[in-house]
Amino acid sequence: MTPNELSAVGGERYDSAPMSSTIFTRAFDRRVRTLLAVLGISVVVGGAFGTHTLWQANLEQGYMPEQPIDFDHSIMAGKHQIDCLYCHTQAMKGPHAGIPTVSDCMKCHTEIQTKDAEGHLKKGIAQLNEHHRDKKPIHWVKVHDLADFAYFDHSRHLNTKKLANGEKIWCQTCHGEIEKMSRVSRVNSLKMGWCLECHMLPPDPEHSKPGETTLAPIHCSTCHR
Amino acid sequence: MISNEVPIHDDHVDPPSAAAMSRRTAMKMFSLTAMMGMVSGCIRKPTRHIVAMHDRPEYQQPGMPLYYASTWTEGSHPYGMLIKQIDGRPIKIEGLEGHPLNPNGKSTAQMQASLFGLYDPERLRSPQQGGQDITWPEADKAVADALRGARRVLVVTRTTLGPSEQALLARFRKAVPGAQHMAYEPAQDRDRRLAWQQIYGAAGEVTTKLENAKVVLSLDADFLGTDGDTLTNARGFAETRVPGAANFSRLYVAEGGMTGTGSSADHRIPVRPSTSAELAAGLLAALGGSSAALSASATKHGWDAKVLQALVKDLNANKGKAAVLAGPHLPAAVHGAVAQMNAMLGASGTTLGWNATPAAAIASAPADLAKAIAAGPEVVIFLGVNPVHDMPGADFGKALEAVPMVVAQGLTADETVSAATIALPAAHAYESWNDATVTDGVTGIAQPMVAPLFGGRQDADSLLAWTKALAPDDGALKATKDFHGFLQARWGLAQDKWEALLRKGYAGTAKNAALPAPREVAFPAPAAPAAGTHDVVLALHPQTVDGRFGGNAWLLETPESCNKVVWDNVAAMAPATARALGVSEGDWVTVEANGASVKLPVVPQPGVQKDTIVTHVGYGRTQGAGHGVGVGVNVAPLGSGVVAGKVSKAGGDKYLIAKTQHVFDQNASVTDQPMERHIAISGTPKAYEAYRKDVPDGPDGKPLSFPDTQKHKLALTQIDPEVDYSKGHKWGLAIDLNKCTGCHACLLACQSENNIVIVGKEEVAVGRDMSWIRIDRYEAGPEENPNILLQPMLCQHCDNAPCETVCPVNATAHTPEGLNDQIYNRCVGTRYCGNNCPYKVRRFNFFNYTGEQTTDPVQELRANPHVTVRTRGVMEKCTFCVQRINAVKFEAANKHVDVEDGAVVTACQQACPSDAIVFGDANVKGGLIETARGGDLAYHVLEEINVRPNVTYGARIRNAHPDLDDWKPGAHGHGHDGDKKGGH
Repeated sequence: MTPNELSAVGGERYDSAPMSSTIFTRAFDRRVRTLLAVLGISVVVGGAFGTHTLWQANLEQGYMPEQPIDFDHSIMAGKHQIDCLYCHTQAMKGPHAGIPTVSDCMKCHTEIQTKDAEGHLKKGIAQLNEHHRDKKPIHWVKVHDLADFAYFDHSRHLNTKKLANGEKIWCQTCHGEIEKMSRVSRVNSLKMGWCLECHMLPPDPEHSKPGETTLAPIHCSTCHR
Repeated sequence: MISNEVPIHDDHVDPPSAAAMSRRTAMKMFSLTAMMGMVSGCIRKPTRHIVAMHDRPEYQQPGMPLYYASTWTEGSHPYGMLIKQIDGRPIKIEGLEGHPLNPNGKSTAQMQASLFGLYDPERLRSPQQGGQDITWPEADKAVADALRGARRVLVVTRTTLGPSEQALLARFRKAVPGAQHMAYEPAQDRDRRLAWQQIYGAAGEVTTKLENAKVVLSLDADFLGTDGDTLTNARGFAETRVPGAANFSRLYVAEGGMTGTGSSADHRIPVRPSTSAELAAGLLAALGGSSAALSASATKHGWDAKVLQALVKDLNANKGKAAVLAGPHLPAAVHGAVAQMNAMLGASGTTLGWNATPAAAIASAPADLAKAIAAGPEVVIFLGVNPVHDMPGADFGKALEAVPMVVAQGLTADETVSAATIALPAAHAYESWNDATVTDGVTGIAQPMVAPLFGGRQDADSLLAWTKALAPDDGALKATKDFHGFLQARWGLAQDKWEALLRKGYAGTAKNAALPAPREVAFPAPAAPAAGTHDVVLALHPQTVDGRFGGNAWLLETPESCNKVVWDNVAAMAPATARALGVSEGDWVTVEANGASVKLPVVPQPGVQKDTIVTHVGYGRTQGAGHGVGVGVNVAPLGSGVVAGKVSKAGGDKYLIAKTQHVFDQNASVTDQPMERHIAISGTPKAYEAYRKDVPDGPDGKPLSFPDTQKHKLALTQIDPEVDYSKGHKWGLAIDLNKCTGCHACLLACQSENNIVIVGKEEVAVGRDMSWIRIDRYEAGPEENPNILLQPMLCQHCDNAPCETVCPVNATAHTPEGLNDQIYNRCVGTRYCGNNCPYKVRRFNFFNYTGEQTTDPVQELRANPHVTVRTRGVMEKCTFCVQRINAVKFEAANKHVDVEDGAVVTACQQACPSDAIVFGDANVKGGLIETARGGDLAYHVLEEINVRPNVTYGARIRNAHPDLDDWKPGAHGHGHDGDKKGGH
């Protein structure tokens, strides 16, 4: 059929009209278009809403993986009041806080070989002894795992004198109440927005330099490079 | 600058791309991607582990760099090195400050690139016999058994054996009475060393103190690029390149090819190498007062008589402050004449000195090595040399077939190792203990940075194992476990002294002897070049040297300093010669010499003498060079040094030549633009004098020679007046074009520091090279002998950055400290920023160039952990080494002190042998940057477009001799001190 023949079917004559408008009546056409438009808009809005919701969903917060040795911070840091820096020796000195080596653990645990009620070595200590005997490092599961493109530096935070609200940054500021955790979990999301909550605080008048508008730098290369 | 982004060839090579897909497939992929994107938000990322070592090594802190002093043993001069190691991985090489050879802590391009060799996936992983893996004890037993019965044994090593290695070799030769030792280097300065031995009466080498020189003449000596102690040369030379200073030096270069040194010359004369003896003799006579011979020769060979007159005048006027250097490949007669000239000029003790104990021994002649093989040894041992590939002249591999037992130890299964009966994997220099004679009176020590990554063993350990097997009664060796023990016992230091030595990196003080008085030696006069022949210069490559770095992809992708060719060796010839031969770029020529013939692709190169063809040795690898296999042509069959060759046009299809700077044609509209737009500014002393005295320089009193420099600053505005840069830090960089010699050390330092990938020849050919710095080369004047200006170009960190305003996702943004940040994880790859950059310094990852560098567990170790590794679809560019800025700032802030100006040192600045690069805080009053910007030659590239760049350049003054300085007020058409017509 030629366009002319088609237009004859529709009862109207469009010399150079597109084919589609000649197949259906105008009213039907309008309905179809409206429907498509509504569908399209709802897909976009729904998609955006869904993505937004999922984006906000935080599976990182509360992450509490099982560790190779059931190490209990609530005993070490809580009951025995051992300073964090006693084991995480690099926290004030470099980017990584540092995990103690097996030989570091054994500095105390050569002596401290706690036994349970039945007189057996506690499971964790037995495991540690085994690692020490075989000179085998422990594969701890990373709880606070930042993306590779974010460069966090422990020392820069812990050496800060104090925040605008007069508080100092403690390990617990970001890691939560470690001294109460039997198994360590991630208390904060460690997302960029969360970082900025502190970084964008007004400057501490005592320690800030002239011209500083926020407590900490917020330009990209502070953390990304 | 603009030229770099305009590829001229039509044969655009498309890299492998996804096969054409239907619309339906595309939709499927699209929806799948969308779904995966949504789902990924709901899934935790993979579990990762923290594995602390069982015992922490001393001093090591996680994520913190540790520096070890060591000595460079892969080159002819043992420079001091400081190797940066993070978490047990060597990741960066720096020079060792205070070291007798490179006291300013600088390094060469090769030192910077050497880490590629350490982590090279091509490295041999196990000893092999007949292609089968065997164990080390099996290999040792096989070698020892063969040695035990052997009457003739030949050990071939490199020339740069350390004193302890030599001592061990002596023990080996005692244990194996029939053993003969030969030192081998494929292309070294054997002939010059032998000539010096005759002239000065000892087997030493001439050293330079160019900081004392006002006039330097180089006869084909690329002393700033490939010849001799280049770091000392560059340091001394750069010290005298301060325009206006009393000691502002003048460099004359008479050379056949075009080298980095020639590019830095104030006056350059193209001289055919085989006529250089005539030139040297003529100059010697002219210095003595009779210039008739020189004038006659100049007329005969077409040398610029005016320049020669000025040179003689200059040399005579600067006695005690002049030096003459001659290249290693020139005939002995030249060295004889040069020695006499230096004696007449009083160079000894002032500009030239003497090192009685060079690190490199004089190599055996290739003919003697061939003879020794022909004599029928039962066992031949090659340690760290590859003569099967690079032996000049006859086919060495064929001669080797007759030897019943060939043992070869090398880093990779190169041509020699592959030809061996027993192939042994060597340990890399950074996995080995060693010592080296640095200079007269100083011995350096090299310590391993890592345990051998691929189970290799250093050459000396093999020698030790065989010596112990053959001489079980050698009491002293019995207790020696390995070469480390041997070395330490030989040094005989108490443990604390030994550790102090390791920290220092060297022992002793340099004697800095004066140059002995030369003897009159009657060297045979070299024959005049035969008619119809060309001088074929088989030169060392400025990056891959003699081919020892032929498998180093970083160096292969670094452009040859002058013609900017990457991934190839070519026949560079004068454009006139190319026209006479009827060839153009990419055509092939046949070069015949010494009964051999080689086909090479042509690159016409302005400045090359018309009867001279330049090519580079070490290319055309067939085995064990990884990405270097099949790159270029092996020219070793032609011989070595300078050979007389017949050059003729050869047939064949056009060959794709990849260059990092594309426009090398005579299109004036393209070539004049850089000068007219004041990108590359240079002038002569007279022009500079007029400028300083405010003498109007052009018509209507307008600045012509030095536009947009300090005196003619444009009144520019800041687009965003809200930003106040006057508080806190404001980072800036300054480059002095008077000092840059185009050595490319900065480029490789940047590559190593910032995890920059290599992309391969085809990608470079379409302008996708990734290097964050490039050395732009501007040539002006006649094509026979243009004036050269070299200009390192990198991100200018503009205050009014044009890239930032066009980024749709804010992936490039400004910091209050004036840095133009590029945020990889935010970049979506629109490339708008790259298009809007007037300097064309942004680099885009068109493909996943990183490839196996992130998946291969060994190559992964090479990356600097303080810099993100980029992937496909991401834009990148110079960051001013923001990781280094942060490290210094954090350290200062942790101690609650201010950052000192000059505390931040960028990788390029750290490496620059001529100290041309300065980095600092522009807000510091009287600081490094303010001083550089206040210099009257300071200018910013493309200042008139008001982007307010933060990289300041110092305009170059070509120190023309007053007699030859043709500057006149208003006589010049534009800023560059050449002819109006651009050479390029």
